[in-house]
Amino acid sequence: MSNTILKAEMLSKTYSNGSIMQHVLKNLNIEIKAGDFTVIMGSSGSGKSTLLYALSGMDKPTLGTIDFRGEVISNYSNDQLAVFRRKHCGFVFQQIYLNDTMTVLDNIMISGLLVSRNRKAVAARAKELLQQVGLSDVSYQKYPSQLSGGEAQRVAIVRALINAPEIVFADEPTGALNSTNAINVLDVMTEVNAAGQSIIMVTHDIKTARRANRILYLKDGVIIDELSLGTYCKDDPDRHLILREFLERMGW
Amino acid sequence: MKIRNMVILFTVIIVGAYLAAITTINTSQINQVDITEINQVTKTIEQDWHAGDTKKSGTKGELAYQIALVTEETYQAVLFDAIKNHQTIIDLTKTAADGQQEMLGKIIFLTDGNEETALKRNLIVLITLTFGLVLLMVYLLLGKVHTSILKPFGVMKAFAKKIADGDLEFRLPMDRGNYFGAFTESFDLMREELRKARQGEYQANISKKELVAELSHDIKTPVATIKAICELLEIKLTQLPAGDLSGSTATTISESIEKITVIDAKADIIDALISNLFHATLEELEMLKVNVSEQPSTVIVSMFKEMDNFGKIQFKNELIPCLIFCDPLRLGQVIDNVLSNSYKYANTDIDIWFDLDKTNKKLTVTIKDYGAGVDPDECPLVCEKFFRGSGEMIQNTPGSGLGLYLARQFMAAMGGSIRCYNEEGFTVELDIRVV
Amino acid sequence: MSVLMIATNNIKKAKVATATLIILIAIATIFLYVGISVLANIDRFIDQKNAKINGAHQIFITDGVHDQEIQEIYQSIPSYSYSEREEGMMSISSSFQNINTGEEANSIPAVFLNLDTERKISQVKIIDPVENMPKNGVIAPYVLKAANGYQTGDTLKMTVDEVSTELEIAGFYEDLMFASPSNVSMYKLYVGDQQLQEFLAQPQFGSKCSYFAVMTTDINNTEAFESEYVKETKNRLPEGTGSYVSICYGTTKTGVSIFINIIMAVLVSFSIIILAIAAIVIKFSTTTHIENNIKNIGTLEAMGYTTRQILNSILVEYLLMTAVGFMVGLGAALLISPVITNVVSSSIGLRWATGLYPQAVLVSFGVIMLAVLGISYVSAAKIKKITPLTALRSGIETHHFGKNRIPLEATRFNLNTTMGFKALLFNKRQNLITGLIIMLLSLVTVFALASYYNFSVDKTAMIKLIGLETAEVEVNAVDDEKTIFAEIAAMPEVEDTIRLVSFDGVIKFKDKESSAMTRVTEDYSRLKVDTCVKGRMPVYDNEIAITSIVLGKLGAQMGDTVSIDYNGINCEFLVVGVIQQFNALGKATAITTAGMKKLLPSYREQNLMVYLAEGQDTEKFITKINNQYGSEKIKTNSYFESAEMMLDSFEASIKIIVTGCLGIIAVIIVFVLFLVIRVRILRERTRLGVSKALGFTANQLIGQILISQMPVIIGAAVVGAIAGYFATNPLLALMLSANGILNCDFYVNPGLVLFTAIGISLLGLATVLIVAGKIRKISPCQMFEEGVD
Repeated sequence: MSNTILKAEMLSKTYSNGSIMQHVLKNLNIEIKAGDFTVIMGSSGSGKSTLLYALSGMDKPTLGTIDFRGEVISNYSNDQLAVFRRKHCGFVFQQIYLNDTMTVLDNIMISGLLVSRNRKAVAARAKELLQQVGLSDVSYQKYPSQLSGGEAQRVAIVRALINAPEIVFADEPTGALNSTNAINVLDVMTEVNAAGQSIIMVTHDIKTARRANRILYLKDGVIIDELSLGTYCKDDPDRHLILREFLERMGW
Repeated sequence: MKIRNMVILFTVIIVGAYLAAITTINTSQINQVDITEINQVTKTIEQDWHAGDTKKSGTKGELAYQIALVTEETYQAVLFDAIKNHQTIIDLTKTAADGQQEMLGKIIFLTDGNEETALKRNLIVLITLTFGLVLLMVYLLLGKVHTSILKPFGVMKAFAKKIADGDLEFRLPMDRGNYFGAFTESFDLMREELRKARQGEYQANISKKELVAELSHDIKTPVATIKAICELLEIKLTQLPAGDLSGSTATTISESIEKITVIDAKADIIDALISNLFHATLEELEMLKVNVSEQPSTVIVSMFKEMDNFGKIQFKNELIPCLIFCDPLRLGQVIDNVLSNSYKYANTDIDIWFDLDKTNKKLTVTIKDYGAGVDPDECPLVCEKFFRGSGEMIQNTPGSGLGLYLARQFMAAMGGSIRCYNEEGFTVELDIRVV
Repeated sequence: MSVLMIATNNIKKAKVATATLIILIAIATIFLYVGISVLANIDRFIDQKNAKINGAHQIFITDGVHDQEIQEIYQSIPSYSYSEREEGMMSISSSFQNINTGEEANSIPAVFLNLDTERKISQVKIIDPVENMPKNGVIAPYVLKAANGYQTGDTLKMTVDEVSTELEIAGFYEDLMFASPSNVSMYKLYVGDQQLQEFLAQPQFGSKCSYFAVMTTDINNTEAFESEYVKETKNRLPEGTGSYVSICYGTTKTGVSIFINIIMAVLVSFSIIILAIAAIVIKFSTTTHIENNIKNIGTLEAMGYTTRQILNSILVEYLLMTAVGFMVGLGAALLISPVITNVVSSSIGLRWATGLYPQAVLVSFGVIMLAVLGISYVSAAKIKKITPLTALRSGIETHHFGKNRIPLEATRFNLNTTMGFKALLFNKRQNLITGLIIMLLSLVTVFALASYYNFSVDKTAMIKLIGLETAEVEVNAVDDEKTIFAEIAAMPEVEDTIRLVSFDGVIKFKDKESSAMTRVTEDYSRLKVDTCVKGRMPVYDNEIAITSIVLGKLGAQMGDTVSIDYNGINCEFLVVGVIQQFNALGKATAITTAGMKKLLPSYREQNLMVYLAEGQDTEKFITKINNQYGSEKIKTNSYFESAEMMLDSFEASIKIIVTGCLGIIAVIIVFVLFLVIRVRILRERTRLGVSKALGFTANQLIGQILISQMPVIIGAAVVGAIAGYFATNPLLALMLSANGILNCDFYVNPGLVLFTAIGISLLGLATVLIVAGKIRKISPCQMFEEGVD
């Protein structure tokens, strides 16, 4: 029984600059199932981030439909999309993008209060999540600039999770972090996924990709192949080998 | 920054206090008597006097006065006494009937010592305020120095000790408004850099090993070639009977074989390259060039709409938007040709169906009219060059017999195809490649 | 030159800020240049005008009985040069109405002179002459054309008591002495010989008079000449000889230029306010520029630029803008010169020509350049402290360790409100600047509106400043004044009467002296207009109240004793109060009747101020009185209307200035808010993008910007308007202090304050909404991308 939450059909995204049209995504068909940890890979300019933003309702596709649990979101208005995002999507960015003028807790609360009006509950959930990602009480009232990159990214993950979204979208979440912090953040994301959270992540990094159970390889706006790692155990060395082989085949 | 603001603030406060003090001193005029008031009182006394009220002392308003008449014996004594006491003295005159003024004596206004006490009190208040202000500011300054300089120094000391102990993970706490802020941060940066340097060293070692591993892998391929040739050589050499030829000839032959093989391989490569080049040139020489690009399928709908001059076109189903390979100009010509044929020969409604085949990546556009169709015998020929139907009506209609031929050429160039057949009328199916 | 390249690049990048600055500088230039050029040239201009027509230095108009003596008196004064005497007609109770412009009749005395007489002094040069001089042609003063819109060919209806006649305007003349009725409340009109003879034959129009025009050897000392003359006449001629008018050049010149000087001073101060705003904008945009470009600056420094060079590039940037702004402003100033010409001409009554005055150009350019470059240097100087490393690391000081003032966990407000307030607190420096600008402008708005209201709508306060009583009619009885005045007071039309006499007196203090219009009445508390600003009005016979101008001239203070010379009698008075008035050029004193009797024991109160009841017609009343007593026993003329006329001539100028000011204020507010919000949206593009990604709708984000911006705008508008409510009068007093005004009592309508606050807030709201609407169009992804301008 497949439990599809997000389905894209014939998805295309075209940027036009005057008469020059650039097709970044071309007739993509994707299905995301609940609990999937999907990684989108591909060389730079292959349309990875565009795909992520189109799927998450940040950007509207030029052609094609996106279906979220039976609702077509691709022709939502901007405001409807905003409401959709706040309820069903969480975002983690490479540049982290926490609001420098607010404390850690407030950064999470601004997202949480968009959906719930119960301040206490939101605050409690925020604290609980912060605890889960390994951030101590002390850091709640800190400002993002007082945190290390890894800590900040974990805060961002909490912000993404605060509304219990169906899907967390991550755009190179470890791209700006050093390897220790990156592993830290990835561990958090793996744990979150293990708890049943769907994740769609764009990455460049093979170590990051290894965490996924499904890898889509994008080239020139087309998914040229996909690999399922779901059958392999997490610590299986084959997992890495197969991934490596797959990527080599893709010309990575 | 903070200190500068404080200096400015203190200066402003002190200067303000100083100015306030000076103004207070200047405005508290000790001996200034209210002349207007005195004039008024004098005039009233004179009026009273004139009216016959010759009281010699009293109080008018707030002023107590005493009158010394010229006619009195003690006149001089009273006057000098008053002068001694800094008292205000003014003439008491009487206007006679003829308008002449006559001096009756002097009005002496009695002053009390209140002014001096008030002055003293004011001065005391002023000085107390000033000293209090200065003291307050000194305390403030000292407090500021303590919190923003002495305390951070203590923290810094502890920090330096940790660093010396090799604990590079210990972060230096920073707080806002700290005069040492930047300084503290620099220290923390220093710690961060030290930590990074140590980590970098470790990582550099790892990546060196990785590089060596990768390079060895890459070199495998050319080595394989060399190996294959070596094998061949070995086989050839082993196939030759050892005793047939002289030692030098045997060597020459084996070398020749080896070289011929290499040359053969290289020739293959050159051949492939040239054929590529040849094909590229050939395509460019084609007259009606088709520029295939990726286009949204919605262009097809707009093409039909543009050509729907008679309102006969009906879309029977929705087109699923997707990207197709086509040259919009040429595809437009294809559709134009098909439609104008239908207008010319059938002149009925035209129905359009779209059918997207996702697995074969094919979009089929079916264009159907309800006319007479073509002669079933001629059907396979309609797409041939210069072919025109044999029917009388067709022969009477002007036409070149190129429309469907060109349509087929264009569709082929776009990676698609065209099919024509009779079904209730004439039907054309265009297969367009989907990206 | 690479510095120039960087500068032009900066200008190109910040188009809006550049445009704003250029406009601000241009506006400042217009005001500053116009103000300076008029202020600097008005004095010379008046002298030149006068020299051109060989204008009189002193004019006396008398009834012609003592011509011989008068001539002897002025000829005996040492600085006398030469003089001319001619005959004319004096019409005291005349009123004029231009039928073509449809104005109301003005009651103003007039002197008619013969146009055909040859004269050396005050030659008549006709402007806009009619082709064929009609018999009833009249040459009117130029001010009627400039301020009241008279045209050649208009019909001027003259009414004296019951009789009236129609004259045709045949041209205009310029003469400083009779340039503006605000100064000398009398028209000098030239008519043809035949018309004058006709007038003289009809005594109901006016009486024959002698018109003396005197030239002195020193044009700068005509006041001394006049006071010498007044003193001599008092000594040698019997009291009450028929002298109508005595006007001297110096006094008139000061009087004529007072109002225009005030206007120009307002313009200059307004331009300084705009410069201050420009300075704030510069400071603000320089700071943002440095913050935004800190990495570029770091790169430039890394490439080898010195901080000096980078600083220079910023200075060159502003230098270019200033130059452009100045040229634009100068061009605009020349373009609007007809308006300025009209403003100046209508206030001075002489034909002013606006031109290009090199000194004024240089001075205004210098002031603006210095202000702009100074402020940009100061605000950009912190570049010097930036090292390439800190710059590339985006600056160490950008760290923000604040106390969390509104923790979302605890606040009760709605999320968007809280976010708005957070932004409000975070942008406090910028908000402070915006607030200051709006506050300043709000204050100026209230000031401008209040000035307009008091000059044009409700003139009570202005009348108080002028210092004239609001009595409609002035009655002068030759004899039997007690019965006549009692009868008049009992008439049903009359609300109140006060006996008030004025004469020209000479006040002495120590060895200094000054002439002053001395008012005499029994009880000052009965007067309708209280001019006292300090101390009190005289009550006893030895008390006096004096204007601050006279006090300043004498070097005396309240509490000092001054003396008055009258017909050889000298009497001492104690200064008990300070009064203020525009009238008589602010040179006035007030004593009681009892005090006057000390000077002149035979003094009689022969002058009566009559206050008519509400709705009574002045002209009818005058006619009635005249009929009842006959012109032999009393002389009647309408009193207050002349003051109103004088105000009318200011009204046009005030209107132009106020409208201009309000327009410019609106433009500045819109520009400043536009700049501030645009910069904010650009700077916070990433944050806005992330917020959109998190699920905030465009409306919510606009709402946040509104909440973070509007309290500042509304607060500043309200504070500014309230400050305006309290500051208008002190400001006005400060501006008019040169005219001896210490204290103003302009009525500032609270509705006006409310209107200003609401108006500015609404303007701000509209601007913020429009600019913030940009957010709507941007998709979250675009917001991440850099370099979207």
